[in-house]
Amino acid sequence: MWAIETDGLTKIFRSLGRKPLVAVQDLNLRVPIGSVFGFLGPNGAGKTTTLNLLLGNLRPTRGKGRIFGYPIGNPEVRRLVGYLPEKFQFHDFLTAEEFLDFHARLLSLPSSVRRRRVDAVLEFVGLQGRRRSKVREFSRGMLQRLGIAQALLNEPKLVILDEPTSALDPLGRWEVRNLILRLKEQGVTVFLNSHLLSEVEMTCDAVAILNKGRLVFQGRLDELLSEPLELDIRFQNPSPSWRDIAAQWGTVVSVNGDALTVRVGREDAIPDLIAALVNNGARLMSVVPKRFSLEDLFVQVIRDEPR
Amino acid sequence: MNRVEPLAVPLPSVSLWARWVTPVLVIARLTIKEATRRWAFVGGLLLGAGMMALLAYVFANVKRHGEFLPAEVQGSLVVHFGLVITRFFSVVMATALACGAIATELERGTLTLVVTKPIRRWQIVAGKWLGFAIVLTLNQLVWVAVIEWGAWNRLGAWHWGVWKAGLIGLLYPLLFVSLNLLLSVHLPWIFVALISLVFMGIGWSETAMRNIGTLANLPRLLTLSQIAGYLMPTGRIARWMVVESEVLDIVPRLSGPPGVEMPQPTVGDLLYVLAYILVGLLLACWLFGRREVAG
Repeated sequence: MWAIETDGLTKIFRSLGRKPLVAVQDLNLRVPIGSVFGFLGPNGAGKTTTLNLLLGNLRPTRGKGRIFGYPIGNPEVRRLVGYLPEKFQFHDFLTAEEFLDFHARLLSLPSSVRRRRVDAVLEFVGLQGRRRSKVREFSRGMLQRLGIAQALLNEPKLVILDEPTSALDPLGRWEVRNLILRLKEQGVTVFLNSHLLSEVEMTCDAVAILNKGRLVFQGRLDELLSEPLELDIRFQNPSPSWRDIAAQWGTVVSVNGDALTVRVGREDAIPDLIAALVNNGARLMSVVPKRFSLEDLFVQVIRDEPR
Repeated sequence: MNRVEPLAVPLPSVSLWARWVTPVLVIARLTIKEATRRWAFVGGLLLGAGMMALLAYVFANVKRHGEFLPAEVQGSLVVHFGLVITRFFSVVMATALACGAIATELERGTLTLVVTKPIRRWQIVAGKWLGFAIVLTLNQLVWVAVIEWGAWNRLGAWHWGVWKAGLIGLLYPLLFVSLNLLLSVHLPWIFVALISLVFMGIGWSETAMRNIGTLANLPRLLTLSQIAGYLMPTGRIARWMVVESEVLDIVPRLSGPPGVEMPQPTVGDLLYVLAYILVGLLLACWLFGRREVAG
């Protein structure tokens, strides 16, 4: 059972006099229940189209998708989903409270639950003190928080966030990260579409990378980023023989004066490598492990794709 | 819909009322709130009411051969021309309120969040239609009350025909709300408003073409008039209003120019108008259901 599952999901936009545009092609996505899942890709990769397909706003050209096992396009499944779109505009003549009440009514929440949930989400996003302010008086960051609040009204099992921190300052981003982690603790699945790779790296369990409408990568983040590992080693007494010793424990990537960069396959190879160097007379000034970041991975995956 | 296996995450149970009716009412409520705060509504309401009051004042002071018109003629003129004004202003107001109801709201992003809630597209259209219908009914009641006041001022008695005609006149804005919603599924507000104006012209041209066609004996113009009457059946409503307003006994010439007999309205006319409104609304629901929305 997956929170989101797609099989061969494809969307081709056709319009008169234009070449058909393949926005999403044969997408096979698996998002585990309870995970925080990062959905990445360069601009125009088809991420927002995918979200619109999942939410039933667009009809797939072929393929199918399910949310918690229910076919996408079934409006009832949206009772399990909270969604914050990237581009939105609220009815700005409403107050924050009225705005949330309107969305809670659309979710058919009973009146007693509605009041409680409106209070809870306002508290959750830190807008309790502005509940009676008109939405038009809100800053972009506050609007983003209000958007997040409406996405949480129905205590969703799946929260889809499309660039949730795009309008936020560093503190706001930190708060959203914490919010995502709190949702995770509550067992909520979070599907996060974001350009901020550092943010994804800090919060997500798994990622998928989309490029030109195709899924080019999908996997758990900890596995992806743990290997391979590079070490920058600086010597007080550089010698050509250190390179040969290092090569026994990994791949020497570069030699630059008194520094050597070695890529090791496993983390537990590091003590053995250092011991071998020291035992052969090397005097080490520094050993700096350099992990692959999500950004490295992202750039590599996108670059490796045929243009 | 595909059959699914037993699921680990059950859907929340929701009553049939909450599933099918509540969303329509919620959208209607928001539509009323939104419409009544717009200048198009407030301004139109006040302007229309002001014009009707002015009309009553003018007819009270019109002199013919140095003498004021008889009170009952004054009252009939107030009623007749007051209702003509309601017809025009109610159409303008319906268009102003409904022309940007869907496509423009999607473009602005205010509907983007709404469509991702557990709501069917037809419920959004139906909710908007209901909201506009309620607002325009209230508006019509105010205008008819002003006309009634003008008539009562001249006649010294209630003129119930105003209310009957006013009620039938409500079909005018409802017709244009359906038309505007239908067009606004795909078109931006400016195009919807322009097409709406063209349809308004077609509706009004029916009577003009019939009158000229009859007087000048031009059968083709009469055929065109009939076609116009089917394309935009506002003439049918207007004729019903004239009859129900009970002014023809006092001022028979209000039915049209000399030598042209006004067709007697039939129940079929009303049914045609009601069907027109309903079909427009259903088509709008269906089209919006088919429309793809890229948020």
